[in-house]
Amino acid sequence: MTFLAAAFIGLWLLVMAYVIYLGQRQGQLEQELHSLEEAMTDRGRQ
Amino acid sequence: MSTSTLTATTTSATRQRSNHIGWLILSTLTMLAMGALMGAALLYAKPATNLAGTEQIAQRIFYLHIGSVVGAFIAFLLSLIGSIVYLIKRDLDWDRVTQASVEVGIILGASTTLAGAIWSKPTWNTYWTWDPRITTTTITLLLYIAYLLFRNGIDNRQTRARFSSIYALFAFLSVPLTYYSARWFRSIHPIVFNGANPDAQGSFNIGATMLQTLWVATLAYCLLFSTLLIFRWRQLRLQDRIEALREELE
Repeated sequence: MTFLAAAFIGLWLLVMAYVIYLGQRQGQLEQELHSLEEAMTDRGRQ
Repeated sequence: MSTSTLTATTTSATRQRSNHIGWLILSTLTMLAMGALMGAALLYAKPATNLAGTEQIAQRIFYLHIGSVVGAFIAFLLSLIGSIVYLIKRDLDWDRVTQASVEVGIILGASTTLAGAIWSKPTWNTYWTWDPRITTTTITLLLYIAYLLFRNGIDNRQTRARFSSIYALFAFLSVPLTYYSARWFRSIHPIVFNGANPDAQGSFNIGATMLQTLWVATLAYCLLFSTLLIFRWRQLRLQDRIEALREELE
């Protein structure tokens, strides 16, 4: 039972770690896009 | 804002919203399929009759092992297709398909290796052995990890896409080698599809409920691959858009 549990938990952790990485990266990119858009608007006003 | 610009913006926003809803439906289906796989692998599939004790319980790892290897195979195959289409069309969207496929393929390939290593302890009495199948799988994974490192070393976007597509073409050669390794070389790894290995240790006959669970595993991992691929592909597109905006500002 230990091996079965270890394999199932291990595989889920691996996939979850990648999903978390993707989520964090998405947050960073959206923030970056927002600040770039603001910078472009500021430049447009000037 | 002119009428045509307004129409184009509205159309683009509508398309983005419908794409997002499509992806949400796909991810819900993936979660349901993965849940069904857990239930089928742990409860529905009958145990292998020729195995006993710990080996019989650990045999249920098989469904995740095969599911993830099918997902990894599709991922690497799509990376090959993506790189060929990029080299023909020079469309960066296909380069993004290749990169996203490789990343997801590495995750699924690592899952296969991890599941196999844990399963081999009660079956082969060791977590790791330099069996041809395991060795070629490791080489394949390392080759694709090197693909990602190689990409990071090239600054120019088009040059990066061109050279990494050529690399991905050659890296795929290790995939059929991995598949045939248990047939061509002396291996203790069982052969599941099209054939049998007389030297295999831990083999078992696949009954009706096992086969059905295997189909659920294949479907669940294909859905998981598609969900992750689409999300990552869109993310890479956003990343390139940010790069373009930054260059425009400078």
